[in-house]
Amino acid sequence: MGYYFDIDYIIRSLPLLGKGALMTIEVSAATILLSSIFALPLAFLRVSKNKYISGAMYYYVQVMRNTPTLIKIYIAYFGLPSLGVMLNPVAAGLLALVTDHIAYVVEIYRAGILSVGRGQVQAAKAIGLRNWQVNYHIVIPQAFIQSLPALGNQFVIAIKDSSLLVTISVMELTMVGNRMAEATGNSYEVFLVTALIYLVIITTMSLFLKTVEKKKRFTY
Amino acid sequence: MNNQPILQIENLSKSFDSTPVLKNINLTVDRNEKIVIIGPSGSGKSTLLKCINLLEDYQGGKIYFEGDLVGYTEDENGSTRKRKAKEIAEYRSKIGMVFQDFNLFPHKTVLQNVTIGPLNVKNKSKEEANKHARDLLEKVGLGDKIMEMPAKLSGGQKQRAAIARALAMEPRVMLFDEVTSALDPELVEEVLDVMKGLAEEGMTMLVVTHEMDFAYDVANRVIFMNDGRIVEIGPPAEILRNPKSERLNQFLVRFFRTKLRGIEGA
Amino acid sequence: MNSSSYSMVPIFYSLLKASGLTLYYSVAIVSLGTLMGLILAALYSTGRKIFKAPISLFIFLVRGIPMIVHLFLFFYVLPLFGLRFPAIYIALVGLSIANSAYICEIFRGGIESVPHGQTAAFKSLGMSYWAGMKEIILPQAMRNALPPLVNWWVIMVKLTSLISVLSLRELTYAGREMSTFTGRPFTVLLLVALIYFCICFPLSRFGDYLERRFSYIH
Repeated sequence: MGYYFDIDYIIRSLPLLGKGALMTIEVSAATILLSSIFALPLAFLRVSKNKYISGAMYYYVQVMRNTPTLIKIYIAYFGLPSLGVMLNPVAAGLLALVTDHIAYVVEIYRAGILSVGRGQVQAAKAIGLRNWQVNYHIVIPQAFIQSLPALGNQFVIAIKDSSLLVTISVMELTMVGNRMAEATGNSYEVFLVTALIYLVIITTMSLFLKTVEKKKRFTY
Repeated sequence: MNNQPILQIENLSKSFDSTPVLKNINLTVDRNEKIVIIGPSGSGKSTLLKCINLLEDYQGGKIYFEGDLVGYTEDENGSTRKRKAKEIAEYRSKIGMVFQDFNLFPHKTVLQNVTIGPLNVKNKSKEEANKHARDLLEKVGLGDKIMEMPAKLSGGQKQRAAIARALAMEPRVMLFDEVTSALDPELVEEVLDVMKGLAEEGMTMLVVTHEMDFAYDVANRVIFMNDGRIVEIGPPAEILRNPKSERLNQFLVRFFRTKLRGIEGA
Repeated sequence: MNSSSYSMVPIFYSLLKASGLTLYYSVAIVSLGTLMGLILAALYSTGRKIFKAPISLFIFLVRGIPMIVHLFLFFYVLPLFGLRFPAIYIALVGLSIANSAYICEIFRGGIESVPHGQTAAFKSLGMSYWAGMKEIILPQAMRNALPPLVNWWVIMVKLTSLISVLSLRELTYAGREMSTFTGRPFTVLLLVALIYFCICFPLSRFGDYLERRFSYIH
C-alpha cells in the first residue's frame, strides 16, 4: 500500500532523476533551437507566390500535423535502419521531434511574416532595397518578435514531447523514472516525484516566458 | 542642361485580374515640372504612380525614364524581356515615393528609417549617411526627433519623416500618393509646406491629392483622371476654373459642395 | 531468412482492423473528454470560488505534466490504492480526464471571447443572467470555441497512439507488431502514418474551414 511516502527514498532518487531532467531539457532545447533555425527559410517557401512551392510546404505541414509524434519517433528509430540509416536513440528522437516541430514553427513564422504590413514592404522597395534586403531589414526582425510568444509556447510543447522518447529508451526524465520504478518497486514515489519535477520545469518555463513577453510589449 | 523629358509614358494599360484600371495613359513629364493629379477614388491615380516606380506591373505600354525604357529591355526585333531585380531596384532608388499610410518602419528610429536606404542601396558610409539624414530631418523640421521611434510621432511628423526618407536617396522625381489624406486637418499644412519647399528647389513632382489650393499654388499642370483615363490636362487655372468636360465639372461641383458644407454647415 | 516475400495486403488488412480500435477509442475519449470539459467550464464560469479554485488547480496540474506521464500515473499509481480496473478502461478514462482540462480551457476561451458589451446589452434589456447566457452568450461562445475544439479533437485522435505504450492493442501497437513480424518496419510504419493521416486530415480540414467561417462573422 502506498499510503506513506518513503521520503528517504525520494531524496536518494533525486540525483538520478536530476540527470534525466537534464537530458529532457537538453533534448527540448535542441528541438526548439534546430526547428527555429530550419523553419525560417521554409517559412519563406510557405509564403512564396509560387503555388507549387507554397503548396508543397502546406502539405508538409499537414502531414506533420495529422500523424502522431510517436509514429514519427518509431519511423526514425525502427524504420530507418531497414533503409540502411542507423541512428542512436537520441539522434532518432531528435530527428523525429525536429521534423515534427518545424511544421508548427513554419506556421508560426508565416503568421509573423504576414503580420508585417504590405505598405512597409512597398515603402522598402520604393527606396530601392532588393528583395533579400527587404526581408533582412524589415520583414524578419518584426516577424521574429511577433513570433516569440508562440515560439515560447512551442518550447513548452517540446518539453512535453520529449517524454515520448521513453519509448525508444532515451534517458530522459520519464525513462529514468520508469527504470527506477521497475528496479525498486517504489513506483508510487517515483512517478509522483517525476510528475512533480516536470511540473516544476514546465511551470518555471511558462512563468519565465510570461515575464519576457510582458517586457517585450514595452517596445512597440 | 538636357531638355529631354524626364518621364515619358506611352499607352500605359493595366488590369487587376480582368478589371482594367489604367486605359491607354499617355503623359510626358518635363524636368522640374510639378504635376498634380486629381480625380474620384478608383480612377487609377495611385495605380499610375505605382506603375511609374514599378511597385505594380503593367500589361500594356511603355514608360521611359530619362530616355531609358523602364522595367523591360527591348531588342531590335521589338521583343521585350523583364529587367533583372537588381536593375529594377536601382531604378526605384532614383524615384522617391511618399505613401498615404506613411509606412515608416516601426522597429527603427526616425534616423534609421532615413539612413537605411543610403546605407544599403547606395553603400554610403555610416558617417555620410547619418550626416545627410540629420540635415534632411532638420530641413523638414524634425531635428529634435531623430532618435524617436515612429510610434511616438504625430501623423504630420511621420509624413515629414517619410518625405525625408525618400529624399535621402537623392531622387530625380518624387511621387506623392495622397500624402495628406490620412492626416488630421491641423497637421496637413506642415506637410504641404515641406512639399512647397521642395517644389521651389526645383524637384520634379507628381502629386496625387485632394488639396486644390496646393494645386493652384504649386502645379504647372493639373491632370484629371476618371475611370482609368486622363480626361483633362492643363494649367491649374484652366482645369480647376474652366472644366471642359462634364465629368470634371461634376467632380469639382461635388468636391467643393462637400467642402463648403464642411465650412459653412450649408 | 529474407522476409521481403510477404505480400503487404494481409498486413494492410490487419492494420485496418487495428485502426477500427483506434477510431473506437478516439470517439470514446473525445466524447467523454468534451463532456467533462464542458461541465468544468460551466462550473468555472459561475465565478464561484468553490469551483474556480479546484478547477484551476486541476488545469494547472494537467498542463504542467506530459500526457504520457499522466497515463503512467493512472496506470501504475491507481492500483496501489486498491483501484483495479481493466487496463484499457484506465487508459481511456485517464486520457479523457487529462484532456478535459485542455477542453475546459477551450470552452472558457470561447466564453471569454464574447465581447463584454454583449452582457451589458442583454442586462439593460432586462434579461436575467441565465436567459442571457442561454440566448446571447453561450451560442456565440460555442461558435468561437468550435474551431479550436475540433483542432483539439485531432490532437486527441493522435494521442490514442499513447495507449500502445501500455501494451494495449490499437493501430500503433499493431504497427510495431507488424513491423517486427514482416521485417519491413519502414514500410509498415509508413502505412500506419498514412492511415492516421487519412483519419485526421479530413477532421483538420473541417477545423480549418470552421476557423475561416467563424472569423468572417466578426
